[in-house]
Amino acid sequence: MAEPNRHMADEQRLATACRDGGRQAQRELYEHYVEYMMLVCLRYIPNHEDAKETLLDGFVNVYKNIGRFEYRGEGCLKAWIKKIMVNQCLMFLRRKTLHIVPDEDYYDTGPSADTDALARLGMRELMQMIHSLPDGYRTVFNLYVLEGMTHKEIAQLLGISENTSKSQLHKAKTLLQKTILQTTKMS
Amino acid sequence: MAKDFEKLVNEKIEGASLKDVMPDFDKEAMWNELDNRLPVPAGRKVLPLWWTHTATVAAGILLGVVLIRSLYGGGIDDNAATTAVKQDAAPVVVVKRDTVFVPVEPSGPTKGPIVENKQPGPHQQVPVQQQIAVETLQEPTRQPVAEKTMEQQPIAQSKPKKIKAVHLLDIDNENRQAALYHNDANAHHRTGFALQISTQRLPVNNPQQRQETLIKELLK
Repeated sequence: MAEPNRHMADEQRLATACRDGGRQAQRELYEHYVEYMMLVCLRYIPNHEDAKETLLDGFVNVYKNIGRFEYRGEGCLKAWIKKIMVNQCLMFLRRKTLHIVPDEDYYDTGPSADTDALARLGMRELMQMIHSLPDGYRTVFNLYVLEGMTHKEIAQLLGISENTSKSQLHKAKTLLQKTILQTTKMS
Repeated sequence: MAKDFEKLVNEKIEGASLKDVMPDFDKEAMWNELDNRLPVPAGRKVLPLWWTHTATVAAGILLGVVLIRSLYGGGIDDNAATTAVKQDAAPVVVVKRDTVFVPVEPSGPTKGPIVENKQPGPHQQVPVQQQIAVETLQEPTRQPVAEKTMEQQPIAQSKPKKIKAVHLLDIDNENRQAALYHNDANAHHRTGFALQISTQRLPVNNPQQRQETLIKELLK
Protein backbone atom coordinates (compact mmCIF):
# COMPACT_ATOMS: atom_id res chain seq x y z
CA MET A 1 0.00 0.00 0.00
CA ALA A 2 2.95 2.20 0.44
CA GLU A 3 3.59 2.22 -3.31
CA PRO A 4 0.14 3.52 -4.35
CA ASN A 5 0.26 6.16 -1.62
CA ARG A 6 3.65 7.27 -2.85
CA HIS A 7 2.36 7.35 -6.42
CA MET A 8 -0.67 9.38 -5.31
CA ALA A 9 1.58 11.82 -3.48
CA ASP A 10 3.78 12.16 -6.56
CA GLU A 11 0.79 12.92 -8.80
CA GLN A 12 -0.52 15.57 -6.42
CA ARG A 13 2.91 17.10 -5.94
CA LEU A 14 3.53 17.19 -9.69
CA ALA A 15 0.19 18.78 -10.43
CA THR A 16 0.69 21.45 -7.75
CA ALA A 17 4.22 22.22 -8.88
CA CYS A 18 3.16 22.51 -12.53
CA ARG A 19 0.31 24.79 -11.52
CA ASP A 20 2.89 27.16 -10.00
CA GLY A 21 4.63 27.31 -13.37
CA GLY A 22 7.91 25.70 -12.36
CA ARG A 23 9.88 24.55 -15.38
CA GLN A 24 11.50 21.72 -13.44
CA ALA A 25 8.09 20.29 -12.44
CA GLN A 26 6.93 20.52 -16.04
CA ARG A 27 10.01 18.60 -17.12
CA GLU A 28 9.36 15.94 -14.49
CA LEU A 29 5.75 15.51 -15.60
CA TYR A 30 6.93 15.25 -19.23
CA GLU A 31 9.50 12.57 -18.34
CA HIS A 32 6.82 10.57 -16.50
CA TYR A 33 4.20 10.38 -19.24
CA VAL A 34 5.80 11.20 -22.62
CA GLU A 35 6.38 7.61 -23.80
CA TYR A 36 2.87 6.41 -22.91
CA MET A 37 1.27 9.46 -24.52
CA MET A 38 3.37 8.98 -27.66
CA LEU A 39 1.95 5.47 -27.99
CA VAL A 40 -1.57 6.90 -27.58
CA CYS A 41 -0.95 9.36 -30.42
CA LEU A 42 0.54 6.61 -32.64
CA ARG A 43 -2.67 4.53 -32.29
CA TYR A 44 -4.68 7.33 -33.96
CA ILE A 45 -2.05 8.86 -36.28
CA PRO A 46 0.13 6.42 -38.28
CA ASN A 47 2.54 9.09 -39.52
CA HIS A 48 5.33 9.52 -36.93
CA GLU A 49 5.91 13.22 -37.62
CA ASP A 50 2.22 14.06 -37.36
CA ALA A 51 2.03 12.04 -34.15
CA LYS A 52 4.98 13.97 -32.63
CA GLU A 53 3.43 17.31 -33.55
CA THR A 54 0.14 16.26 -31.96
CA LEU A 55 1.99 15.11 -28.84
CA LEU A 56 3.67 18.53 -28.46
CA ASP A 57 0.39 20.37 -28.90
CA GLY A 58 -1.16 18.06 -26.33
CA PHE A 59 1.49 18.80 -23.69
CA VAL A 60 1.15 22.54 -24.28
CA ASN A 61 -2.55 22.20 -23.55
CA VAL A 62 -1.80 20.11 -20.45
CA TYR A 63 0.41 22.82 -18.92
CA LYS A 64 -2.03 25.48 -19.99
CA ASN A 65 -5.01 23.81 -18.28
CA ILE A 66 -3.24 22.19 -15.30
CA GLY A 67 -4.97 24.73 -13.08
CA ARG A 68 -8.32 23.05 -13.81
CA PHE A 69 -7.11 19.59 -12.77
CA GLU A 70 -8.59 18.19 -9.57
CA TYR A 71 -7.01 15.17 -7.96
CA ARG A 72 -9.63 12.46 -7.44
CA GLY A 73 -7.62 9.31 -6.87
CA GLU A 74 -4.73 7.20 -8.06
CA GLY A 75 -4.05 7.43 -11.77
CA CYS A 76 -6.38 10.36 -12.35
CA LEU A 77 -3.57 12.62 -13.59
CA LYS A 78 -2.54 10.01 -16.20
CA ALA A 79 -6.16 9.56 -17.31
CA TRP A 80 -6.64 13.35 -17.50
CA ILE A 81 -3.54 13.83 -19.67
CA LYS A 82 -4.58 10.85 -21.88
CA LYS A 83 -8.00 12.43 -22.47
CA ILE A 84 -6.33 15.67 -23.61
CA MET A 85 -4.08 13.71 -25.99
CA VAL A 86 -7.00 11.79 -27.52
CA ASN A 87 -8.91 15.02 -28.11
CA GLN A 88 -5.82 16.51 -29.74
CA CYS A 89 -5.56 13.47 -32.06
CA LEU A 90 -9.23 13.76 -33.01
CA MET A 91 -8.78 17.45 -33.78
CA PHE A 92 -5.88 16.54 -36.05
CA LEU A 93 -7.95 13.89 -37.83
CA ARG A 94 -10.86 16.33 -38.28
CA ARG A 95 -8.45 18.83 -39.86
CA LYS A 96 -7.40 15.96 -42.12
CA THR A 97 -11.12 15.71 -43.08
CA LEU A 98 -11.89 12.55 -41.23
CA HIS A 99 -14.96 11.30 -42.98
CA ILE A 100 -16.88 8.40 -41.57
CA VAL A 101 -19.40 7.00 -44.04
CA PRO A 102 -22.70 6.44 -42.29
CA ASP A 103 -23.18 2.72 -42.39
CA GLU A 104 -25.75 1.26 -40.11
CA ASP A 105 -25.70 -2.16 -41.70
CA TYR A 106 -23.62 -4.60 -39.75
CA TYR A 107 -23.94 -8.21 -38.95
CA ASP A 108 -22.15 -10.18 -36.36
CA THR A 109 -20.54 -12.58 -38.81
CA GLY A 110 -17.05 -13.17 -40.04
CA PRO A 111 -14.00 -15.17 -39.03
CA SER A 112 -13.63 -15.89 -35.35
CA ALA A 113 -10.88 -14.21 -33.50
CA ASP A 114 -7.76 -16.28 -33.05
CA THR A 115 -6.55 -15.20 -29.67
CA ASP A 116 -3.53 -17.51 -29.79
CA ALA A 117 -2.35 -15.93 -33.01
CA LEU A 118 -2.91 -12.54 -31.52
CA ALA A 119 -0.92 -13.44 -28.42
CA ARG A 120 2.01 -14.55 -30.57
CA LEU A 121 1.89 -11.37 -32.58
CA GLY A 122 4.57 -8.77 -31.92
CA MET A 123 3.74 -5.25 -30.85
CA ARG A 124 5.19 -3.69 -33.99
CA GLU A 125 3.15 -5.97 -36.28
CA LEU A 126 -0.05 -5.25 -34.34
CA MET A 127 0.50 -1.52 -34.56
CA GLN A 128 1.21 -1.83 -38.27
CA MET A 129 -2.07 -3.73 -38.70
CA ILE A 130 -3.98 -1.05 -36.78
CA HIS A 131 -2.29 1.66 -38.90
CA SER A 132 -3.36 -0.13 -42.07
CA LEU A 133 -7.05 0.33 -41.16
CA PRO A 134 -8.95 3.29 -42.73
CA ASP A 135 -9.10 6.42 -40.56
CA GLY A 136 -12.76 5.99 -39.61
CA TYR A 137 -12.39 2.32 -38.65
CA ARG A 138 -9.23 2.94 -36.73
CA THR A 139 -10.70 5.93 -34.77
CA VAL A 140 -13.80 4.09 -33.64
CA PHE A 141 -11.74 0.94 -32.83
CA ASN A 142 -9.35 3.00 -30.70
CA LEU A 143 -12.12 4.88 -28.90
CA TYR A 144 -14.12 1.78 -28.13
CA VAL A 145 -11.46 -0.89 -27.51
CA LEU A 146 -8.59 1.13 -26.13
CA GLU A 147 -10.31 4.18 -24.57
CA GLY A 148 -13.31 2.27 -23.27
CA MET A 149 -15.93 4.70 -24.56
CA THR A 150 -19.49 3.67 -25.31
CA HIS A 151 -21.01 3.92 -28.75
CA LYS A 152 -23.21 6.76 -27.46
CA GLU A 153 -20.18 8.72 -26.33
CA ILE A 154 -18.34 7.96 -29.59
CA ALA A 155 -21.36 9.07 -31.59
CA GLN A 156 -21.55 12.36 -29.70
CA LEU A 157 -17.81 12.91 -30.02
CA LEU A 158 -17.59 12.18 -33.75
CA GLY A 159 -20.98 13.51 -34.72
CA ILE A 160 -22.28 10.19 -35.99
CA SER A 161 -25.07 7.89 -34.96
CA GLU A 162 -24.65 5.02 -32.57
CA ASN A 163 -25.39 2.49 -35.29
CA THR A 164 -22.70 4.00 -37.50
CA SER A 165 -20.25 3.72 -34.60
CA LYS A 166 -21.19 0.04 -34.13
CA SER A 167 -20.84 -0.63 -37.83
CA GLN A 168 -17.44 1.03 -38.02
CA LEU A 169 -16.20 -1.00 -35.03
CA HIS A 170 -17.42 -4.29 -36.50
CA LYS A 171 -15.71 -3.64 -39.79
CA ALA A 172 -12.49 -2.63 -38.04
CA LYS A 173 -12.40 -5.84 -36.02
CA THR A 174 -13.23 -8.00 -39.03
CA LEU A 175 -10.48 -6.49 -41.11
CA LEU A 176 -8.01 -6.80 -38.25
CA GLN A 177 -8.79 -10.45 -37.64
CA LYS A 178 -8.40 -11.26 -41.33
CA THR A 179 -5.01 -9.61 -41.37
CA ILE A 180 -3.88 -11.50 -38.23
CA LEU A 181 -4.98 -14.83 -39.74
CA GLN A 182 -3.16 -14.12 -42.98
CA THR A 183 0.01 -13.17 -41.07
CA THR A 184 -0.03 -16.30 -38.88
CA LYS A 185 -0.74 -18.54 -41.89
CA MET A 186 2.21 -17.04 -43.76
CA SER A 187 4.54 -17.45 -40.80
CA MET B 1 -14.99 -14.45 -28.24
CA ALA B 2 -15.14 -10.96 -29.56
CA LYS B 3 -14.75 -9.65 -26.07
CA ASP B 4 -11.68 -11.82 -25.60
CA PHE B 5 -10.22 -10.41 -28.80
CA GLU B 6 -10.85 -6.83 -27.69
CA LYS B 7 -9.52 -7.50 -24.21
CA LEU B 8 -6.38 -9.15 -25.58
CA VAL B 9 -5.71 -6.24 -27.97
CA ASN B 10 -6.20 -3.81 -25.10
CA GLU B 11 -3.82 -5.64 -22.79
CA LYS B 12 -1.20 -6.00 -25.52
CA ILE B 13 -1.25 -2.33 -26.43
CA GLU B 14 -1.45 -0.98 -22.86
CA GLY B 15 1.60 -3.02 -21.85
CA ALA B 16 3.63 -2.05 -24.92
CA SER B 17 6.88 -0.12 -24.86
CA LEU B 18 7.51 2.82 -27.14
CA LYS B 19 10.86 1.34 -28.13
CA ASP B 20 9.02 -1.58 -29.78
CA VAL B 21 7.03 0.78 -32.02
CA MET B 22 9.34 3.81 -32.40
CA PRO B 23 12.94 2.94 -31.47
CA ASP B 24 14.32 6.28 -32.81
CA PHE B 25 12.20 8.42 -30.47
CA ASP B 26 14.43 11.22 -28.99
CA LYS B 27 12.97 12.31 -25.66
CA GLU B 28 15.50 15.15 -25.13
CA ALA B 29 14.93 16.69 -28.54
CA MET B 30 11.19 16.57 -27.99
CA TRP B 31 11.59 18.37 -24.64
CA ASN B 32 13.71 21.11 -26.22
CA GLU B 33 11.03 21.62 -28.84
CA LEU B 34 8.35 21.73 -26.14
CA ASP B 35 10.41 24.15 -24.01
CA ASN B 36 10.55 26.59 -26.91
CA ARG B 37 6.78 26.49 -27.24
CA LEU B 38 6.05 27.00 -23.56
CA PRO B 39 5.68 30.57 -22.25
CA VAL B 40 8.42 32.01 -20.03
CA PRO B 41 7.52 31.70 -16.35
CA ALA B 42 6.46 34.94 -14.65
CA GLY B 43 9.31 34.95 -12.18
CA ARG B 44 11.99 34.55 -14.78
CA LYS B 45 12.76 37.43 -17.12
CA VAL B 46 15.03 36.57 -19.95
CA LEU B 47 17.14 39.49 -20.99
CA PRO B 48 18.50 39.45 -24.47
CA LEU B 49 22.23 38.90 -24.58
CA TRP B 50 22.78 42.04 -26.59
CA TRP B 51 21.05 44.10 -23.90
CA THR B 52 23.43 42.95 -21.16
CA HIS B 53 26.45 43.52 -23.41
CA THR B 54 25.30 47.02 -24.33
CA ALA B 55 24.69 47.90 -20.69
CA THR B 56 28.17 46.68 -19.73
CA VAL B 57 29.86 48.69 -22.49
CA ALA B 58 27.87 51.84 -21.62
CA ALA B 59 28.76 51.50 -17.94
CA GLY B 60 32.43 51.11 -18.82
CA ILE B 61 32.41 54.20 -21.04
CA LEU B 62 30.68 56.27 -18.36
CA LEU B 63 33.18 55.17 -15.73
CA GLY B 64 36.08 56.03 -18.03
CA VAL B 65 34.73 59.51 -18.74
CA VAL B 66 34.26 60.19 -15.03
CA LEU B 67 37.80 59.01 -14.25
CA ILE B 68 39.37 61.06 -17.04
CA ARG B 69 37.55 64.20 -15.99
CA SER B 70 38.56 63.79 -12.39
CA LEU B 71 42.21 63.23 -13.33
CA TYR B 72 42.71 65.83 -16.02
CA GLY B 73 39.93 68.36 -15.62
CA GLY B 74 38.97 70.67 -12.70
CA GLY B 75 42.19 70.17 -10.67
CA ILE B 76 44.29 72.92 -8.97
CA ASP B 77 47.48 73.80 -10.83
CA ASP B 78 50.20 75.18 -8.49
CA ASN B 79 52.29 76.55 -11.34
CA ALA B 80 49.55 78.83 -12.58
CA ALA B 81 50.32 82.48 -12.81
CA THR B 82 47.28 83.39 -10.86
CA THR B 83 45.24 81.46 -8.39
CA ALA B 84 41.80 82.69 -7.67
CA VAL B 85 40.25 81.82 -4.35
CA LYS B 86 36.58 82.42 -4.31
CA GLN B 87 34.69 82.60 -1.10
CA ASP B 88 31.01 82.73 -0.65
CA ALA B 89 29.73 86.17 0.20
CA ALA B 90 33.30 87.54 0.17
CA PRO B 91 35.43 89.46 -2.26
CA VAL B 92 37.57 87.44 -4.67
CA VAL B 93 41.24 87.37 -3.66
CA VAL B 94 43.62 86.99 -6.54
CA VAL B 95 47.16 85.90 -5.68
CA LYS B 96 49.65 86.54 -8.41
CA ARG B 97 52.75 84.41 -8.61
CA ASP B 98 55.54 84.79 -11.02
CA THR B 99 59.08 83.73 -11.57
CA VAL B 100 61.36 86.23 -9.88
CA PHE B 101 65.10 86.29 -10.23
CA VAL B 102 66.64 86.45 -6.79
CA PRO B 103 70.27 87.32 -6.42
CA VAL B 104 72.22 84.53 -4.80
CA GLU B 105 74.61 85.40 -2.00
CA PRO B 106 77.92 83.64 -2.43
CA SER B 107 77.88 82.17 1.07
CA GLY B 108 74.24 81.78 1.94
CA PRO B 109 71.39 79.45 1.09
CA THR B 110 68.88 80.56 -1.50
CA LYS B 111 65.60 81.94 -0.32
CA GLY B 112 62.55 80.21 -1.54
CA PRO B 113 62.20 77.16 -3.74
CA ILE B 114 64.67 76.85 -6.55
CA VAL B 115 62.91 76.34 -9.81
CA GLU B 116 65.89 75.15 -11.83
CA ASN B 117 68.08 72.26 -10.90
CA LYS B 118 71.31 74.00 -11.84
CA GLN B 119 73.69 74.88 -9.06
CA PRO B 120 73.92 78.66 -8.89
CA GLY B 121 77.29 80.16 -9.27
CA PRO B 122 78.59 83.15 -7.33
CA HIS B 123 76.91 86.47 -7.92
CA GLN B 124 74.18 84.93 -10.06
CA GLN B 125 70.43 85.34 -10.00
CA VAL B 126 68.22 82.33 -9.52
CA PRO B 127 64.62 82.15 -10.73
CA VAL B 128 62.24 81.64 -7.81
CA GLN B 129 58.47 81.36 -7.68
CA GLN B 130 57.28 84.08 -5.34
CA GLN B 131 54.08 85.77 -4.54
CA ILE B 132 54.31 89.12 -6.12
CA ALA B 133 50.90 90.63 -5.59
CA VAL B 134 47.67 90.07 -3.81
CA GLU B 135 44.66 91.78 -5.14
CA THR B 136 41.28 91.82 -3.70
CA LEU B 137 38.73 92.16 -6.34
CA GLN B 138 35.58 93.71 -5.21
CA GLU B 139 32.56 93.86 -7.27
CA PRO B 140 31.92 97.40 -8.13
CA THR B 141 29.07 98.65 -6.08
CA ARG B 142 26.28 99.50 -8.27
CA GLN B 143 24.83 102.84 -7.40
CA PRO B 144 21.51 103.68 -8.70
CA VAL B 145 21.75 106.23 -11.41
CA ALA B 146 20.09 109.42 -10.25
CA GLU B 147 17.60 110.50 -12.72
CA LYS B 148 18.25 114.07 -13.69
CA THR B 149 15.54 116.36 -14.85
CA MET B 150 15.59 117.83 -18.24
CA GLU B 151 16.79 121.08 -16.79
CA GLN B 152 19.70 119.45 -14.91
CA GLN B 153 20.93 117.27 -17.73
CA PRO B 154 23.56 119.32 -19.47
CA ILE B 155 23.53 119.06 -23.15
CA ALA B 156 26.79 119.90 -24.73
CA GLN B 157 26.31 122.60 -27.28
CA SER B 158 28.83 124.31 -29.45
CA LYS B 159 28.45 127.75 -30.69
CA PRO B 160 27.17 127.67 -34.17
CA LYS B 161 29.85 128.71 -36.52
CA LYS B 162 29.06 131.76 -38.33
CA ILE B 163 29.55 131.09 -41.94
CA LYS B 164 31.18 134.01 -43.60
CA ALA B 165 30.02 134.68 -47.07
CA VAL B 166 32.67 136.32 -49.15
CA HIS B 167 32.04 138.09 -52.39
CA LEU B 168 34.06 136.77 -55.27
CA LEU B 169 35.72 140.15 -55.83
CA ASP B 170 36.74 140.30 -52.18
CA ILE B 171 38.45 136.90 -52.11
CA ASP B 172 41.85 138.25 -53.21
CA ASN B 173 41.56 141.23 -50.90
CA GLU B 174 40.72 138.96 -48.02
CA ASN B 175 43.65 136.72 -48.74
CA ARG B 176 46.01 139.72 -48.91
CA GLN B 177 44.70 140.99 -45.63
CA ALA B 178 45.13 137.54 -44.02
CA ALA B 179 48.70 137.37 -45.30
CA LEU B 180 49.44 140.80 -43.83
CA TYR B 181 48.04 139.66 -40.50
CA HIS B 182 49.95 136.39 -40.35
CA ASN B 183 52.98 137.58 -42.28
CA ASP B 184 52.56 134.63 -44.66
CA ALA B 185 53.51 135.15 -48.34
CA ASN B 186 51.44 132.13 -49.52
CA ALA B 187 48.20 133.12 -47.80
CA HIS B 188 46.44 133.90 -51.05
CA HIS B 189 46.73 130.23 -52.10
CA ARG B 190 44.54 129.00 -49.32
CA THR B 191 41.16 128.06 -50.51
CA GLY B 192 37.98 127.09 -48.83
CA PHE B 193 38.55 129.59 -46.14
CA ALA B 194 35.41 131.44 -45.24
CA LEU B 195 35.98 134.86 -43.80
CA GLN B 196 33.56 137.13 -42.23
CA ILE B 197 32.94 140.14 -44.24
CA SER B 198 34.52 143.05 -42.53
CA THR B 199 33.93 146.52 -43.93
CA GLN B 200 36.74 147.84 -41.81
CA ARG B 201 39.39 146.18 -43.90
CA LEU B 202 38.54 148.10 -47.01
CA PRO B 203 40.19 151.53 -47.03
CA VAL B 204 37.25 153.22 -48.83
CA ASN B 205 33.85 153.62 -47.22
CA ASN B 206 32.17 154.87 -50.41
CA PRO B 207 30.83 151.91 -52.45
CA GLN B 208 31.63 153.64 -55.76
CA GLN B 209 35.14 154.44 -54.70
CA ARG B 210 35.50 151.00 -53.38
CA GLN B 211 34.51 149.52 -56.72
CA GLU B 212 37.00 151.77 -58.56
CA THR B 213 39.73 150.69 -56.23
CA LEU B 214 38.95 147.05 -56.85
CA ILE B 215 39.04 147.52 -60.62
CA LYS B 216 42.39 149.21 -60.37
CA GLU B 217 43.71 146.41 -58.36
CA LEU B 218 42.50 143.86 -60.89
CA LEU B 219 44.11 145.75 -63.79
CA LYS B 220 47.52 145.71 -62.05
